[in-house]
Amino acid sequence: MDFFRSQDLARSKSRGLVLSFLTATLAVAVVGGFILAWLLAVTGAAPGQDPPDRGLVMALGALIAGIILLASALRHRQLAAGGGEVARTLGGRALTGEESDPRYRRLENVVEEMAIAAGLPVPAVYVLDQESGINAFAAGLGTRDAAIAVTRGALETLTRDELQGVVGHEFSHILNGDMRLNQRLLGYLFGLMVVSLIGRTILEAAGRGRVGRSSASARAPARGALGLGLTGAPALAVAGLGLIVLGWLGVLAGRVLQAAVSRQRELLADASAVQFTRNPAGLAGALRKIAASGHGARLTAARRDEVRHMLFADSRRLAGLLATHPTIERRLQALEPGRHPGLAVSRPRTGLVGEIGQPGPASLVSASRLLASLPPAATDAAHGDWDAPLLALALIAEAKNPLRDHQLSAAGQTLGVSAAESLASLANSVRPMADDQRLVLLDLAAPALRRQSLPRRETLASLARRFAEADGIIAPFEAALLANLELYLREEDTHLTHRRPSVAPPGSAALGLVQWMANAAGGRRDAALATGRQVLAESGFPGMAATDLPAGELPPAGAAGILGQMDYQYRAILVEALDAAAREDGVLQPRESALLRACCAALECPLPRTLDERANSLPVTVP
Amino acid sequence: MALLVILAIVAALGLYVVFAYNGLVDRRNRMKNAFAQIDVQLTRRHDLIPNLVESVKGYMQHERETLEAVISARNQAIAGLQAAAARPGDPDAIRKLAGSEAALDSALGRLLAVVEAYPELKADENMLRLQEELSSTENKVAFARQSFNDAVMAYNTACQSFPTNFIAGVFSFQQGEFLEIEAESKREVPTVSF
Repeated sequence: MDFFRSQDLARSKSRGLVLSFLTATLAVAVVGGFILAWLLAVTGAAPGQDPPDRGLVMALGALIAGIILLASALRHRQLAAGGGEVARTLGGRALTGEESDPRYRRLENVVEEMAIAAGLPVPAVYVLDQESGINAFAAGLGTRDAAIAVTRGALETLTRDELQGVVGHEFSHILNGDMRLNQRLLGYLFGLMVVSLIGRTILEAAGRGRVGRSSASARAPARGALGLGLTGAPALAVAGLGLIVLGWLGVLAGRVLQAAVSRQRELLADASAVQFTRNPAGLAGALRKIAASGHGARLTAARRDEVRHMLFADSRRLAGLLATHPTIERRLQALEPGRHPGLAVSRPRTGLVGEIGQPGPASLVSASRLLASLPPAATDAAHGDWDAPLLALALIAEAKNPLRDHQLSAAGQTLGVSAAESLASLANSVRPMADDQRLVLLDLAAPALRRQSLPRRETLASLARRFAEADGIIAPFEAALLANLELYLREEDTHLTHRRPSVAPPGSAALGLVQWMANAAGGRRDAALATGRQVLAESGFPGMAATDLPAGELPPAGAAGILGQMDYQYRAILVEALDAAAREDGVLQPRESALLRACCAALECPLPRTLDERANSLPVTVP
Repeated sequence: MALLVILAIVAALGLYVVFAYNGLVDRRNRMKNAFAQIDVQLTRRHDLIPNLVESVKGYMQHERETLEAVISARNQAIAGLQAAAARPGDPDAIRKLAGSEAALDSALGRLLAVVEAYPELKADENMLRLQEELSSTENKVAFARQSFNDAVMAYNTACQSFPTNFIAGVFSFQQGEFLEIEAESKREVPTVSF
């Protein structure tokens, strides 16, 4: 599947989802309004009329719709904090890169390797410690705030290959644009299920033996909330029955919505995972273990039903229309030898654009090579909450010149003396590195950077900008690093609040990016710029005819920020233009290729790694 | 009229030749593409060996020969892979690759057998990870090899079938070689279980 098309498709599908959600809300409100009004009449709590009073029905319906809409709006706000929020709802714990249990480290390694291979920022990794079933999910709004959660049962029972298959399946959801859809659905489901959640909570509270006291206190809110002057037992009965019926209605509507987010996506994710790893045995092994184990894919967390549609395997065994996944037998069948799912998938686009979002086994090999080439001290620093920001600063400072004394003293004033010392030693280890290695280090540091508090992120972003602008010129690679760092440090809820799906793509920001790329071409800058510009114009990038070059240097993160709102079909054109500008002289220099990769990352177009050197690049050590 | 018939026959023959030729080229390309996947996985395997040697050599002071055998087998396998990757349609290159990979298999097998004698090394976390990755790569090589051999079979069948074999002969399409890696002693990769 074409990466760009599937991303745009996911966006238009989320718009369709809003419509289905509103329809479901309306249905629940109307039916719920009738039933509540009827209940009120039957219990004699309200003046009995045979056709219930229309005003009463409408008031109750509006109340129900209001509760649903309010609850889902609140949940959407919470979810904007990033994919980790979902994992925390289910009792997940974030791995911090300093785990001692080898099984946890193995999970982190598998995730890191796959992220680097696919050209994605490393997602936060969560473990659901309370769950002994085998399951996993990916959550998040975009590639930059993604989180992957795996149950303890999966870590304990799966081999590395099987774990890789499961993680590959989750990465496919990220690459196929399913995550965004799933995340939006979560907010809607919460709204629809909130009544049954309230009901469950009240029942549990009552079950804990506080009935005597709570019935007295429950009466008052019931009266206040309904405002109908109900008293005593009838009010409680109505509230109880009403909650049960409404909760059931909401859950049913939620199930239908969940199942509507197609089961086909799961088969596609399986196929993409096999295309990625070329190892159907791993995925099939994981599925077989789920089928064989007593716990299966079951989850025990109270709010498990909300996430059913985004799990690796269904946590319940519902068949037919309400099933969120194809049966395990069906998925195994699709993986059987001879079928080689995914291998026949053709690439609808050619060239660099065709590679985006399509990682293969060569990417994995290339990633593990790159990871092995990093000094362990630098990798450890990228994982640590304390060291990761300093590493990022060191990367920015070292992008052009060795770290200077005044930069160190600036860091010392803002972050403290010991931080400045660590910064200096990290800068020393960064100095001999190639651009490619620097970029990967920044990707590895992504989870730790996102864990920083908001004020600290702001301090870091401003320090990084000061470092980069120290000599008045921002070199192309420096600009790209800075753009990626600033995007990691930025608050993520812009996705929800400022997203305008079909915004006209700003031509001058695009030209600004092409200009950076051209700056890396040195002597052939003007020719490279002209080539890139020509591609933009010929492919119909909007607003190109009237657009002149941006007057000064565009702030890098600013350009990427503007372009990050753009439809993916236009991003494809832009990536093509950047590629054409980089290859204008017929060769892709390492510096240009690193810059290209950084630009793709800033545009959220994951560019997989390729294996372009032969095996002898690793040194042979003679004992 | 007769002329027309003859012309039609000639045209049909010409068309047949074009289609048959293109069909052969297509199958040969599929075979070459399938080799690319083997290339990737064998490269990964070759990448793992320096790490393996690195983590083993601290423990094994007296096994210098075994380690050197592994390294030289790896270097030969790399050369074999390079030659085969350049010409995946060449039976000689494929046979040589199969030979050098089998030699690497045996050398690795001997090394892993020696590892068994060092309990500390066997329990070493790094070592466990490497062994796990080696056996995982082994699985992937097997999978890639299977689809390469399928492609070779399809191509060879086309080369041998009547009447395509004439086309294959005239344009000298060389048949492909199956990749069969048989170690001297069938090596068992220790499985890791928790």
